[in-house]
Amino acid sequence: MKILAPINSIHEAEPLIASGADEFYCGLHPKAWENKYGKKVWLNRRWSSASINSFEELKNLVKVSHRNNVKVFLTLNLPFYLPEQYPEILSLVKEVTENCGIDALIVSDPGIIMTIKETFPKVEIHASSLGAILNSSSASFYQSLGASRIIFPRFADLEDLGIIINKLGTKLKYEVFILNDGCVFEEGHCYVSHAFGGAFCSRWNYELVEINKDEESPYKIDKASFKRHIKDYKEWLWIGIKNCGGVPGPKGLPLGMCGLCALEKLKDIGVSSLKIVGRESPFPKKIASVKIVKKILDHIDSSNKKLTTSQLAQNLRRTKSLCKSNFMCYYR
Amino acid sequence: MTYYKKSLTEIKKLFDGILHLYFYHRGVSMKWALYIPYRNNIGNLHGDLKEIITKIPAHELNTIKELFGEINFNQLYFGQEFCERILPKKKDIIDALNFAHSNNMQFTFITPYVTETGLIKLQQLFIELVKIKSDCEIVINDWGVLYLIFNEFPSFTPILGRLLNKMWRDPRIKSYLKGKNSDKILKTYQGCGLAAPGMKKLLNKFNIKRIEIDNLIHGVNENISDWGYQISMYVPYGCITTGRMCILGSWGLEKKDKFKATSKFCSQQCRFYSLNLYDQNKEVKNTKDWEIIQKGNTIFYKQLEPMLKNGLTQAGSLGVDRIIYQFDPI
Repeated sequence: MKILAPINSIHEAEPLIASGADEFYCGLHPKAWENKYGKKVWLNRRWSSASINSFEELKNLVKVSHRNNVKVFLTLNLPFYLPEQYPEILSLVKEVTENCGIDALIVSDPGIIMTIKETFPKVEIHASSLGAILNSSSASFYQSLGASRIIFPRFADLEDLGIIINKLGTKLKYEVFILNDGCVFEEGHCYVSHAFGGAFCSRWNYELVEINKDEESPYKIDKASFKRHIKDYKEWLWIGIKNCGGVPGPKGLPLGMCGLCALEKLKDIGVSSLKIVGRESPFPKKIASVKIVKKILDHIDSSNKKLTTSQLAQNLRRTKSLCKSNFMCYYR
Repeated sequence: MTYYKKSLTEIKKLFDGILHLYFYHRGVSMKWALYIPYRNNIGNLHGDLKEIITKIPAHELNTIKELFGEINFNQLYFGQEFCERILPKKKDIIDALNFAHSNNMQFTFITPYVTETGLIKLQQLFIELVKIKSDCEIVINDWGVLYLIFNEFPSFTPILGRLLNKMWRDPRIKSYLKGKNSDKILKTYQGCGLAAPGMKKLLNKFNIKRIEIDNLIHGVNENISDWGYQISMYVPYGCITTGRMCILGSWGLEKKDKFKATSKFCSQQCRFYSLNLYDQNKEVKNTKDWEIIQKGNTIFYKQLEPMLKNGLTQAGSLGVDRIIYQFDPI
């Protein structure tokens, strides 16, 4: 399995590769796009601070990466693109593939995927997690459009993953989330723009409204327990969505969503790439994330195992109570 | 003062009359669909349609009547858009079909986004449904379901559901767009990827003729009639975001089992409770036009009278030809 690391500067490339990164993904924020659309209409799901800011830097990043046998993938992962944006997108695709040399595009909008493949048949497409690919038929749909890799959404069911991969076979590659940010809702079915800042999902007060007094619930729940339930929910949000306030854990390891305990299972079912989230993350967090995934992958491949994958992951993390809570797990 | 008030009322009546005539003369033939997500929403599907209509909140019904006159629900939408855990059973669908038939309504089956487990369940339902109503309209909210229908159930009539129409529904849009170029950027935020040539070609290949939209807080796109589809619009609930993790569904579970997106268990509390949401940051304030609610795994903006009226007015004049009235959002 390859470690797919986020990157937003050429300066991060060599240290991340030295730490174990096998692949990179990045965004691009060309000045021309900003000049035309301003700061509130994005080209991909992240703003300039999370992106490479020029074709020149992208080209250099690809050069350095390829020298180290590391591939670079570029996000074009807005949920959709407008008719008037198609010519700009196609022109950008030409530039990043033919001139900068990127290895694949990460896209979810089926219309733009089809258009890119018709215009540039050789361009490799990875079907983004924004495609909400939760079943084998959806994976087949994206394969029929020309995608060569399926990126499953967060919190995929391991059993379902096994069935989907088994059905679709080895012609496709499969990528899953392994570390860092969570999402309360289905990213591919969220109609809120990150361009207006912050998540829309983690800051509500909740008032319970009884709407059906005519029927009896099959599950007896004490209404008074709702307050406690919301307290639990906010704890889950704090751990999984807010990454415990963004502070690093012991030994500088990132806190927040994690799938390390499931690594061996992911390998067994045929996952080929492990995505670390956080293009905009501080550089030390990226390095620490790559290193811990690498350490556990090496352990899985070693013949002398004294600990299970899960034991090693939790020992390395040193976050016993968080791990025990289950609230930090992508796969549970 | 009294005279002034009376005049205003008369002007309003006159205006509404003009609107009514306008729609009539434009030849917009508005069809009305009643959306029932769960059989218990309408007396276990045994009720009479007229009796059910009386349960629509008076202010919503009056708004509709003002603009379109007496409405005739000629389509029944039945099923789930948002949650595979509460997919109807075969018997529910048969009862819903019978209910539609006995009330002279056409039938549309709504489907949600699905995991592998949900896909298998849907496939079983389609196998049964195709035997009874081979040309049934199916609202599709998952690319995999579209692919399945195209390949295995080509006699169905697919409709591209609103969850696959990724238009922005962020309630903050209008308040964030101020100053220079804001009108231009607003138009970008009202835009629709389904109008793009690549998407049109793709959807044509998959036999999609009809798509769905929400009545947007920041205004419906003025050019929807140029998109090249028949268009249905939902009222009064617009979808902001949805996911497999369900806050109400995990209520009552042990703490360690709560908030699991992959949970197969559901305590079905969405049938008994909804949540009113209030933004701690006060960035998204409820207004006279809409309020934010959560039902099950999905956050909605519920359109209140002024927004509902505005949306319906726009719908009629812009070329929407089917309104889907949601009795309940889930």
